[in-house]
Amino acid sequence: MMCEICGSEDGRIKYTKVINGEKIEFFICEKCAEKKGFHSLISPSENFTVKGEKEKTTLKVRCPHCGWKLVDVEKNGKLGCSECYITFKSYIITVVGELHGKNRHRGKVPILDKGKLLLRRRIREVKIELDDALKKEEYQLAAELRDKIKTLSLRMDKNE
Amino acid sequence: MNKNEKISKMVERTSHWMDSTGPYSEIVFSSRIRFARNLKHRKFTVSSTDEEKEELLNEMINELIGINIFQNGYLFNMKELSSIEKEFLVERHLASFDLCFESDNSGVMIDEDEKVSIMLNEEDHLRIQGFAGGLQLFEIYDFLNPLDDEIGLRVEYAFDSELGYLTACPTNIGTGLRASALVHLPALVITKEIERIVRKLKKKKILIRGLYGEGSDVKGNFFQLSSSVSLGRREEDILSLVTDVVKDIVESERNAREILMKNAKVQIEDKIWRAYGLLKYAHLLTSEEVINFSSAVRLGVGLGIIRNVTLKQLNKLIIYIQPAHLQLLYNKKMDNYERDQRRARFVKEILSLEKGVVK
Repeated sequence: MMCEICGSEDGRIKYTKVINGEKIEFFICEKCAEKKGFHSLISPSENFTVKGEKEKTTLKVRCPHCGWKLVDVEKNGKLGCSECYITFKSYIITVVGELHGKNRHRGKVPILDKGKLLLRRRIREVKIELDDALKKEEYQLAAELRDKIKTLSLRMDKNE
Repeated sequence: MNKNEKISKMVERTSHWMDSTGPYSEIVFSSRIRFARNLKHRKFTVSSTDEEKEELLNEMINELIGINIFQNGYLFNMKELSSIEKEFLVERHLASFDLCFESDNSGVMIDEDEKVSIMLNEEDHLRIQGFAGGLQLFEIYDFLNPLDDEIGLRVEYAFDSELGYLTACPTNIGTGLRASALVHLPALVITKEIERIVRKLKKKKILIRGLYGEGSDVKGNFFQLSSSVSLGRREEDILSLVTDVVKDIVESERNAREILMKNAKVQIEDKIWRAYGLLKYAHLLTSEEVINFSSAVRLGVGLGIIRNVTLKQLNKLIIYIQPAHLQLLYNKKMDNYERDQRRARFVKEILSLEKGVVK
């Protein structure tokens, strides 16, 4: 990012002012921040860049899930979806290494109950069908759907 | 309860964390933890279309609304909030600026005590945050961790066994956890010790920010310290790291205060009482002035120089003198001049209260 005062390449400090709901942002370098009397103690904004040589073939790759290319990742400073971690793996590993060191996850793991999750999803879908049936005044169908929700809810309670 | 009633209820009550009952609260204003979480098989917010965001928002609300702690809480869809109401949530640290102003397809769920807020469709699909007064990172974790587990049973999180929880920005992968504390360090600033401390903190990979998080300026000698490494450490290790760092800083700040009182007692007392006098008797006050003067008064309370003001009063002051709070409190749109006038009156009222009667 270019410093908006001296034009140097090092505009890493982001200042945000909120005036009546309007966000005004500007980027300046540490030297200008000090000269201007801004507090230079605060950490610069977090961002990451993908360093290193990029193979031409990789540049063309699109993430099959979100459709992003590496250039989109760089432009946004973010990944497009969790699948991007697989699509752009070799670069992500470099970035992760720079940010966190050569580390693996050591923290908690999600408690997953697939059966319950699917039941919950099914209940949600049937509820939408029920709303729809009520809107269309299809009361016979609505009654059936209501019973179905009851059965599914009972199954879920048993699962708990 | 409709939206206006919900906002009014929040304006009338102070957040739980403003109570100032936590450990080290004379120096540590508040603690915060957040988990960054995303749903599996969904695009991250940044690459989603408005329709996709809206669909996901509704799905998340449907799944989360049944969780017990939100029964008497608040759910806000950004679409239904005015600009002032959004600012109110930002001023209260319950929602980020980006969540409120970047897109309409986002929302926030808050429990009645304002100990928990879940931002929906922020940079990550879910930003689960917990707050407490003073230094209480482990205490927050004790109520936030089960909540995270419960949400994980309702929606399927994007997770990888090596990289942990997958987040939009690789800075947050792994635990997705960030632990922060907002600390008030006037003596370290006056003695210029703060620069040495900041250098030390940077080596320990602790981030230093102003009152409102990323990109914000240091005001009123408040510094937000937070963990930056989220991968390769257990949650408890991150909490311990920040807790230990904050305890060290509290110790340094206490020492600096002692030195100041030994070497420059009269000057410090003068500074404190002048600030108190201005807060109590000025007829026009800007937010910045209140934040700066109340910093000196807070120091005075911590040193036992000012005895008729409590930290709770000062906490309320610093939150409620902000533009959106002030306008919602008096239910009136005000220009700058009118706000400065109203703010001065509000400050005077709060400081004139008998000890401990702040609602």
